[in-house]
Order: sequence, then C-alpha cells, then structure tokens
Amino acid sequence: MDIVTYSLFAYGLTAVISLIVMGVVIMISKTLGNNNMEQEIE
Amino acid sequence: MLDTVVQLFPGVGSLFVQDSTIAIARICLIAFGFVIAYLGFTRTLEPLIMVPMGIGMIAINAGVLFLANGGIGTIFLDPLVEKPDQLVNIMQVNWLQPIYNFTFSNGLIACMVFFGIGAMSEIGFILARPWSSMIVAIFAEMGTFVTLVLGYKWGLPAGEAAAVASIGGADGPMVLFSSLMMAPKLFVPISIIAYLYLSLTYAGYPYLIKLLVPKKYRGIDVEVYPPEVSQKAKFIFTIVVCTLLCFLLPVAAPLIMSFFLGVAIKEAGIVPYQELLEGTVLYASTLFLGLLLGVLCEASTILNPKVGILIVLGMIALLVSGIGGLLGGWAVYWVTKNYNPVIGIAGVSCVPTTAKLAQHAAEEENPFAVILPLAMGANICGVIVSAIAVGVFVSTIGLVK
Repeated sequence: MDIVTYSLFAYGLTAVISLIVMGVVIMISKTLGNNNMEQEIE
Repeated sequence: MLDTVVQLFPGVGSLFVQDSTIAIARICLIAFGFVIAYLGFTRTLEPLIMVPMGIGMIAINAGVLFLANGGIGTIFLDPLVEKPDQLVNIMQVNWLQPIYNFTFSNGLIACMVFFGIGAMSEIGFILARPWSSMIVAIFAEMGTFVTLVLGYKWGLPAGEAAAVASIGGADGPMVLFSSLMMAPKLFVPISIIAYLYLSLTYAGYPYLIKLLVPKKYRGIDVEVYPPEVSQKAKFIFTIVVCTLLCFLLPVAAPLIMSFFLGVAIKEAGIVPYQELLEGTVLYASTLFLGLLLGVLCEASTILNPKVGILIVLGMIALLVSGIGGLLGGWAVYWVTKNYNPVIGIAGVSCVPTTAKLAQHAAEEENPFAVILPLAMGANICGVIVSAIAVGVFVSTIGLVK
C-alpha cells in the first residue's frame, strides 16, 4: 500500500473505530438512563 | 596552566577539548534551558514541564566531566546503554539511570500520567454533545495523518514517520509510547520535540483561533443541556469502552487501561485512590518526565541529523491538527447552528490546555460565554481518538510498502 492510500485508510479506520466507541457510550448511557428513570417511576 | 584549569573545572574545561560543534551546542542548550525555564516561570509556557525540563537541560550540558574510562560524559544517565551487565554497572553511578530505565524507556511514566489525567477527567462532559465532540476530535487528528505522508516522503522510514506524526495527536504520553513502539532509536528527540511543542501550543494556538474564527463567532454562547447520567452508568460505560478499546487495539492497551482506570476510580468514588492519582502520582510523574526530557537534551543527541526534519514535522503536525480541529468546529457549527467553532481547538487533545484556551478565547469576546464543558468533552474525545490513531499505526504500519 502506498503511503497516501495508507494514510487515508488509517484515518478512516481511526474515525470508524472512534464513532463506534461513541455509539457504544451513547447506547449504554441511554439504556442505563432509562432504567434509572423506570426505577424512579416505580 | 590550561591543563590544570581543565582538570580543576571539567564542566568549563571540557568545552575546550571537545569537538567545537558539540561545545557550541552545549552553550546554546544551556541558554535555551534558561529561556524555557524562565518562560515556564512567567507562565508563557507550561510550567509543570518547562521548569524541570529547562533546569535539566542546563545541568546536563554544564555538568560534563572527564570519566574514569577517559571519555567525556555526565553522571546523570546514558540513554544508549543496552547490555544488561553494562546497565547494572552504570546504575551504580548515574543517579537518574534507574528512573529512566524502569519508568521512562518502558512507557510506565506515560501510563502514570494517564492515571492522573483519567482521575481528573469528567467523562460526563462527553455526553453533553457526544457526536459533536467526537467529530471535532476526529478532525483535530488531521495533522497526524498529513505529517505521516510528509515524513515518509522526506525520507523517514514508515515507523519513524508514524511516530513523529503522532505529535499531531498533541498527547505527550501517547507520543512517548508510540515512539518507543515504532521508532526506538529516535524516541528521545521525538519525545523532547513533542513536549516542547505541546508547551508552545499554550502560546501559539490563541493566534490560530483568532486567525480562523472571526470575532463575532468567538463569543457565541452555546446552550448545553447535559443529560442526567448516574455514576453507575458512567462507571459501567467506562469499563465497557476500556474493554472494547483493549480488544480493538491491544498495543495501546496499557495507556487505554491507565486512562480508564483513573476514570473508573473517580466514578466509583474511591476518594483516597483518586487523590493519590490526581495529586501525587500525576505531579510526581510529570516532574520526573520534565526532568528526564531536559536531561536527555545532551548536545550529542540534539545534533542527530534527523532532528531538523523532526522539528519541522512536529510543528506541521500540531499546526495542521489545530487547523483541522477548528475546521471541525466550523463543520459542527454549520450543521447545528448551536456551536462555537472555537471549541474545535479543544479536539486537539492537550488536556486540559486546549479546553482552557477555547474558554479563554470565547470569554475575551463575550464574558458570559461558557463553553468549557463542551470543550472538555472534545478534549476527552481527543484523547480517545489519539489512542485509537496510535493503536491503528502500531497495528497496521507494516502495510506500507
């Protein structure tokens, strides 16, 4: 792989992994946030 | 007579018997050490690193003596010793050698700094505007990838180009770690340049902000409604994200674990550990990090012909990352219309310096603008993206042919 292609590939991979991590963070916080609210309602 | 003076005052005398280039470089480094220590004192540069680094630089270049083996050197440390028997012998003499070998050259000191940064980080800031923070941080990593291409084109091997490019992530411990993994022969100059430039961001980025963000946009106050997230939720996602990142990037696992352990301790409310990490551990490791970086600034190390290229590349990396971060800030502003583009600079993960710079720039135009929580969110995302970028480099740099 030439350096320019590699750089674009590495940047893309970094961005995808970062967004996946953020997705997981949001998913967990929403799930746990909802559970807390349901517990408070009960 | 001259011989007597040389023997009596070897620090000065050695200047006359050494190669003249090295002697001049020593004098320049002593002067430079004084300048950076003073700029640390005046708070123009980051004092936590610059004061010990400047004094270390002065002492290593002034305290030169004639050694028992007939050579010229110091009794601070020798970073080039590799053989175990030599190392054991030299540890009896060089007072900083044990700290260098047991904490610096294996990356432990970088992990200790990350313990402290983690324990000081409020991960809840990310949740105020999660996607915006992450997008800004991804933009702010631009310098890393641009510099990789430039470094390779300018003749550095791929690993060394990647190591110096990681300066664009603006994360000192991460640069230390990546250069140890990918450019062990250049890790001393790369780390020195990285920390020097990271301190210079303190002085240089405000001008970049003024250049790229017009006055009326700098004072935008952003309405922030952070979601109510319990400590339990934050604790659980800290552990989940740590697990996920360690699975994806095993080479960066020590740093990732160190950062998230700090965060987890804070969220778990283990106060004695938190105080230990954000106080003693963070400040002790930063002190020794600054001192060791200064002591490593020996004239012979700095005269490495590759240092000139590293200096230019380091500057380009941080400049392009700063520009990228502000472009990210603009992108989020154009899409949402409820964002201050200045926050983009905080995507450059120099925690918490760039977040403070963003708040200061906004405050200058509008004393009621409070963007620090969002800037801290972008800052923490910057740390995560930098760790991911370094992990990607270390895992895949072999693909470059």
